[in-house]
Amino acid sequence: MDNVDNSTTRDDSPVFKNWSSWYWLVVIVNLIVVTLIYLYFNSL
Amino acid sequence: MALLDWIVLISTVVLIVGYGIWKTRGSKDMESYFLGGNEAKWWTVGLSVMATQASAITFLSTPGQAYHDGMGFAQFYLMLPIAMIIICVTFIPLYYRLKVYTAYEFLEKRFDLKTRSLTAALFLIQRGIACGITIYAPAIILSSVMHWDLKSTTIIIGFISILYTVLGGTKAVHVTHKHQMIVILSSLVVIFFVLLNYITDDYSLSENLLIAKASDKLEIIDFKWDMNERYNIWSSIAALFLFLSYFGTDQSQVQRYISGRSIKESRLGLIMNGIMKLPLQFFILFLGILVFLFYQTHKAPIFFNDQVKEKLEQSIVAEEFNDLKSDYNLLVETKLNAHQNLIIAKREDNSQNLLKYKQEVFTLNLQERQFRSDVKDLVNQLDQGLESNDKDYVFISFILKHLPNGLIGLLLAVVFFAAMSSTSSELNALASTTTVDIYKRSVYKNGTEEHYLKASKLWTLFWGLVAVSIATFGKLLENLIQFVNIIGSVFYGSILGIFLVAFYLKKIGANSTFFAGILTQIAVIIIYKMDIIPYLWLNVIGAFGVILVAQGLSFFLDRKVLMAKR
Repeated sequence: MDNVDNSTTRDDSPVFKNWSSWYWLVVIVNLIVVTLIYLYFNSL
Repeated sequence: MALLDWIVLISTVVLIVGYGIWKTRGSKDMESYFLGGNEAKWWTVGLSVMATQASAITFLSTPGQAYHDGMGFAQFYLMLPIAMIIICVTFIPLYYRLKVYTAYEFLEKRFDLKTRSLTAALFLIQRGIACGITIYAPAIILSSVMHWDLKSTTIIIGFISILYTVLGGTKAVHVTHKHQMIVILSSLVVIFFVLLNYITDDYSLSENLLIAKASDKLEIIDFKWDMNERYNIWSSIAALFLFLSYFGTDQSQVQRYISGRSIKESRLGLIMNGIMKLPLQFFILFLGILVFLFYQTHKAPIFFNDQVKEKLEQSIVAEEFNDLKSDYNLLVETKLNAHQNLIIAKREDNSQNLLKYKQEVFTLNLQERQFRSDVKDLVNQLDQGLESNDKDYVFISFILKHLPNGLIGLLLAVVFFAAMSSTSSELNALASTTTVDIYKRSVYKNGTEEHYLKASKLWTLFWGLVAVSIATFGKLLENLIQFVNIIGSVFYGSILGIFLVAFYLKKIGANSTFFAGILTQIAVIIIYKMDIIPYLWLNVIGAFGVILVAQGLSFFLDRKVLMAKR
């Protein structure tokens, strides 16, 4: 519990500059997965 | 089971559990026992969160669910990524700021002791029961298909989980979770390729999927508004509340990520879960579809639970059952021809025939469902106490009858690991809540670190024994995975409501929230008993119920407190 960090936007993630980019990544990856599967199954 | 399978099963379990115990021996105080010394990296947090949620029920029931009802169950997880984001933004910073051991500790800092104790008690009741089911569910299935003694199977799964959780605490749970998840995920990938190999003898994968599509197995999104349908796009909104409560306020999950090395590691762990969970769930459901396709050319049994089937064959309804079986066998032959015609139409690009045979396969599939439903009726007619639902037996039955030796042992290890990973997290959380929120806070306040460490281990042992007892006396319900979710939904809504009031409605005080929690919980239990709404919506009712009732009560109760303070 030593490294307490209360920010939600600090530049401390290894890839993105702020946390909101990570959150968008979660949404986009899932949207892509669901959309691709949905479209492929419907095309059969 | 062959000797090779026994060797694979026992050596995998002993190796991973033994390593976990050896690696994490010697906790010095309660902090290192319950928070693992805050050493967990993000991938450990992520894998541990996933291992906690994915119980043996997930691996046994989910493919069976897809086999019978298609991939619609995936909709249940659609909102999980959103829940992960909300928890990263709102819940995690608060838990870290207040340096809590348990989620419920936060409630005393925001409200008072009684609200903390009420929420901790609600958690202990529902998680204590669910922990018993986590052990019981795989034990009953394994004992049935392997002809093992039910009590011994329950005790073995329970005992191993208790052993490493008592000895190593959170750190042991994390270390074993990591290795268990690696074995589980790699085994699922192996079984995927084996299935792929099995089904592509005559038809290509896309041709096989065409058969699955025509059989109505590939509908992943259902936009129809129907409150009675358990899984559609709308019920996924209700599931969001279940996930918020489960990941945000259930100590078995909270403990996984507050033991991260820093807030960053905790968040990345949940982000990993947010990215991987939905594709993983698709993958497990898809395995069920592949099993379905495999059985199209390997004559699927009319009922997958062999033990119950044998009882039917030797009972007074044997004649009716045999009639059903002969009709079903004819249907299987007709289906094979229809599949062949469908694929020929596809290869010839004959759209008229394609449409015709799609319709035929669809109709034949409906008839098959009717046969299965008739068998269920026969089972119920014979004995109401017999398990008439065979969803949980589809995948395990395929594993045991159609996989090569060695792989069977590995897959059984997966079932054991999945059961143990969830059980250990639950025991760890039950013990931390009892020790920190009840014992240390209200029973024995001035003990030494050594005393609390010993108490923590004893509470872990106590909850382990409770879980094994519940598992020993359990009774199989309609569908195991759904039962665990139903139990959660009865209690989770109110708990989430209390946390939402704490986070977002700063003006509402302790008394209003406490009584709102109790009143709403009673109302939710009554609504559940009346059976007027699908269980997922109980989460929404519980959460909004607490918020609205607390808001209403605060006009009277909190105003009185304010006036008294003045």
